[in-house]
Amino acid sequence: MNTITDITEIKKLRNEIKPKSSTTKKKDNKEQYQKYKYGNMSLTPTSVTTTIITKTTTTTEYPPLYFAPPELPKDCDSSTYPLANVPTPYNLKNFQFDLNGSPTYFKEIEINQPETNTVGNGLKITKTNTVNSKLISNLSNPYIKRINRKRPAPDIDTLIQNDIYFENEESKDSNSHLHDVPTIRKPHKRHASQQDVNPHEEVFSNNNMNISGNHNSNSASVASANISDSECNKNLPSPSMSPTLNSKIKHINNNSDNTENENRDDYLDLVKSGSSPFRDITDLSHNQEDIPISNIPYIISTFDVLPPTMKSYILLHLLKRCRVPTLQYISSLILTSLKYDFFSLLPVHISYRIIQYLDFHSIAICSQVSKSWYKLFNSPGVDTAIWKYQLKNDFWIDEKEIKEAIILWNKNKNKSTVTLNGNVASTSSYSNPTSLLKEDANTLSFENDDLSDENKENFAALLQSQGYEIPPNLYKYLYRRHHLLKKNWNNGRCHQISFPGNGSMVVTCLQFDDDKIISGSDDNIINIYDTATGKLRKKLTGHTGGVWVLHYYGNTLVSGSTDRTVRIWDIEEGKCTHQFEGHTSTVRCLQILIPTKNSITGKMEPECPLIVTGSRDTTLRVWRLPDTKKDKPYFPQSQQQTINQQIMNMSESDQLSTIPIIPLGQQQAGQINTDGNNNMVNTIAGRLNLINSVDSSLNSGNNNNVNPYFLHTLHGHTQSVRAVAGSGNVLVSGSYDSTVRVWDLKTGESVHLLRGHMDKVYSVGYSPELELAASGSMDTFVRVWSTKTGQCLYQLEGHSSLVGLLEISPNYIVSAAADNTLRIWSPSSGRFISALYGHTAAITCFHHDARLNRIVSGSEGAIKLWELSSDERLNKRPGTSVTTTETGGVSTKTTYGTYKRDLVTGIQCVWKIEIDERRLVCAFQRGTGNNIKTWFEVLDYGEGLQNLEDEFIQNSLSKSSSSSHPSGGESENKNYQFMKLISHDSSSNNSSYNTSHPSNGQDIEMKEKEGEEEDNINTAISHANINPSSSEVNHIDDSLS
Amino acid sequence: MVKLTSSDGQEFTISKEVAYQSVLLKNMIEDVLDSEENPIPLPNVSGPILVKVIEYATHHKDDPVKPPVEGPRTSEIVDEWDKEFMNIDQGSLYELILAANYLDIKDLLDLGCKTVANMIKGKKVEELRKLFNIQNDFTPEEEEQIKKENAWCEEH
Repeated sequence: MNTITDITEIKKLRNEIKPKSSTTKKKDNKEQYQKYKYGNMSLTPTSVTTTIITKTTTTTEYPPLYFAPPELPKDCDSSTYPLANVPTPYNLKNFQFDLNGSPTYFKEIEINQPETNTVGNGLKITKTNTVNSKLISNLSNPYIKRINRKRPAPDIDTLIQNDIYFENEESKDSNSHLHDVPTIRKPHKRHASQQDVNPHEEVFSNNNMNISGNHNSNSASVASANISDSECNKNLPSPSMSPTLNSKIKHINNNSDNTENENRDDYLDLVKSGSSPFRDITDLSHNQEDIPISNIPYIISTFDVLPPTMKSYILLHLLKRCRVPTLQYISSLILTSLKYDFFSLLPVHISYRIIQYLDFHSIAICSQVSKSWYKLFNSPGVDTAIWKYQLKNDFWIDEKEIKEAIILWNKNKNKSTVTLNGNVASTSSYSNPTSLLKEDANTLSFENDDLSDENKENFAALLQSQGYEIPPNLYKYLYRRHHLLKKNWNNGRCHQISFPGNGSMVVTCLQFDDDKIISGSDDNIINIYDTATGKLRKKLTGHTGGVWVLHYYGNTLVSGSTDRTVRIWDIEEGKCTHQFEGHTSTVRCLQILIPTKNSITGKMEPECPLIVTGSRDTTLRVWRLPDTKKDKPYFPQSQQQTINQQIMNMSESDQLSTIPIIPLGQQQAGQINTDGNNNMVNTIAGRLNLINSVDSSLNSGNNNNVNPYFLHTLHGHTQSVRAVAGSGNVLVSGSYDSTVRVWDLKTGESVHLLRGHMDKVYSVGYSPELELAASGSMDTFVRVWSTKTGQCLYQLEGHSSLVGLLEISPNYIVSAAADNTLRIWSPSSGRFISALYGHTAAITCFHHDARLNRIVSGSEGAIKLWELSSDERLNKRPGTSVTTTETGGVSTKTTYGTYKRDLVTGIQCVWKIEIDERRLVCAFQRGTGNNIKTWFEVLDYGEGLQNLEDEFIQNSLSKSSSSSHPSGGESENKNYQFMKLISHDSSSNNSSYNTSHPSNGQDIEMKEKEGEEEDNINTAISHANINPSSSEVNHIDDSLS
Repeated sequence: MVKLTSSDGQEFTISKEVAYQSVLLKNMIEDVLDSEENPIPLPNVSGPILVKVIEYATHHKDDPVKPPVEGPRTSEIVDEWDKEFMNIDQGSLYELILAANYLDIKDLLDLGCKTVANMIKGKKVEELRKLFNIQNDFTPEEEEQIKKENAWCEEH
């Protein structure tokens, strides 16, 4: 037969090659392959001697292709072949794939200790009981066999007969295959031609055909199963033949028998691979002459046409036969190539979900990875999903702050737009929503307090609906602000301003914000200083006694004095607008109560902003808080002299709009006349109206109680009222009569009388969240009361002297005493948390802020900074800190009240300390003897904030400029104007915090990056010009659960 | 029992209990009367990934319903089994996340997201590029600028 001749020819050929070096051999083989390849093409038609035998086939099902796992070479120990003992995974043991439209099943059979007989020529028959089938293998050839289940186990002769029988079908099948499956023609063509030349390849291609083409026609279906049987059989005499692939190709079957047409003819073709073929491969380097290297290309091309699962299967078995170095190589190859930027490929909402688990440090790193990552990590979606979330988590969501940032940004955006249009128009156009909003922000407006928490979070969206553009990276900017301030505090990085007070005045009260510091002192004066510079801005005079207490909200300042009056001041104007009388002794304490939403009733409480004042006259009085801009001024008749004084002041400052009431008959009008104001008539008319209204109220009562702002007097205490605290309609007062009272501000009634202290009560605190009140007394105890039931819940013992100062927040009570210590307690459990030792004198003032995780305290000698908790997250969730400690003992590692450092030293009396997120403001005396002077000191931890703000605004500039040039037409890469340097004139910078941002518009100009940085300070990098697709942005909140 | 067919035609039979871990399957099963007879096709999930999904759902089928977690999210994976389960190559991880998203299995999606977050956390820029096989497409100037821009996160 042709084949045999071929083999001898090949052998000859090999012998010829043998003497040559191994490299040459390989080369030759390659050449051979090349030759065959081309030869194939031309020889194909002649070599295919095909007889199509038509058979009646009734194929109803496709029985599985059974395959015994190929046996490993004997010397495969797991240290050399790490994968050798890896079992076939479940999904590769039994699978189905589609073969030219027909479902084909594959199954690997477990063979445990099969009974084997080696027969003759290396042929092995294995009997297994399970499927009544034979596993047949050949040590050199995988032997594929078709077995009729109904027949007794065939002997070798039968098997061979079967093989021979199928041999007849081979050519037919290959032919049909050629016709029907053009895609896999190549191997077949090769096969056809190689029949004459190389039996190895013949075998190979036959196998290939079996796998890929056995279902291409009904008529061929049966025969196809066993083409390789026949081939193998045919090749049996050639032990050197290495049908490597056969061992891996499972065999196939059709249940119909073409000749017998048996009803249920299950054929199991079982391959039990011999180990030798594999050894041939693994030991390639050792016996090269035995290896059909020329087969390799065909192995690969055959592999190409296999279904994926089959590929996996084959690869698994190949890998099992690989040594460590090979596996390492493969592994490095695979691991590298399998790595890909799937993070960018994920749907954005999933990306956001992932980013939410990252700390901001990682987020910063990520945005430096590549452009696409930069884009993702700086997209509006991330701003909302991550930075807003972070803000929320750190309890830094503040609608006022959001509003301010949006206004700031929009204002600058509008400016730049105007300038870019070359249109230097006034920005105060009425159609400009920004200007309207700004007005809003300045008025005493309580509408924002009506927002539910949810609305607060979506505050930006609310503004957006009103026509404001949401700045890019809004929340990131806000987060960075907070982060920067925290960092500066931690590092003690601050800018210090000191300025003297009035001589050695005693500063009794102090409140401040970013704009101003307002202090009251015993010299009857209220001073307003500029927070940034310390410059005295206004001196509010009018009180005829020492100012003991003040509190302001918005533009309205309320002060109480030893002169028994309560005065209301317009802070901007620096004028007293209202004066309330009624107390018969020093006004010692006061609080402004702004309506907040009662979480239970859902109503705003109190109904309108209130003032509550406590006096040494044993009473408290409740007043409606006037709006200095909208409400009519009010002065009681008995204080006419003071009013005259006011008018003088007013005339001096040329302000007619807030002219106070002047009863008819007074000759002050003439003085106003001298101002020569053309609006004179209007002014007088206005005044007349005012006067009429006041007159009517005056006439109705004939005493001070006609004050339209007066609401209630709270009677009950028997001695001086020393402290007040309240929220909503609940007010708590502490008195020198040793009692604490709870009042209902709506009715003005005493709700609870809290008895327990044995000495004067100096301080009270109220937590609306916990519905608890705390009080500190001369008796050295702190008591915690339920304002609901009036019960004393805890008596906190520890201080050894007067507890003069006390604050309460949802997680902490902090008390400060004359015993030089501060103590931290849990309000919910009454547990002692920590004592703060370090001061060398009585604590004269302190402030704690749970959100900022800080306590500052002052006593003679120093102002000290303490860390409230080492785990600051515990501060922010009501009830978590201490309850966790108690129940789980989780926070044993958490320390509270850790001393950080002295902020100010070398001082005498520390009068007052206040802090906010950015600054600390304190008033103290410094010096000795007659040189003692009162000083104010501002520690400003806002270093770097201005740069941050500039960056944020410039972001707006670049954004607005880009939005005026829609990017639609350009390709994304081109449009990726990455850096744009923007410089503007610093001379227009206004140093004041509140005032509008740097540029006056005309000075803004865009520059391409050229390095001509005229003004380093104002040169900043705009963010990448990113126009994220809207789909990424929308509904990010929805997608996050 | 419920039958599922993966994108590559593999058929899986799982209990309703396991299937109900997926909101999508739960809805489908409740809507379609005869899900036991007719396999539910899952054209977006390949066989090997579906095997993983089923493995996960089977393991967690008896888990009690977790209350929603308040406060900062932590990427820490507490369950050791989960940790081991996610010890897979990037491609599978990617597909598994997509499958969890498609099948609406929140816990598995979270687990996948946490796993990716943990891959990213604590890495340097260059390490991330290597990890995700990403080419640095910044110019040196751009890189310098972005570094500056993000410098605030570096210090504490």
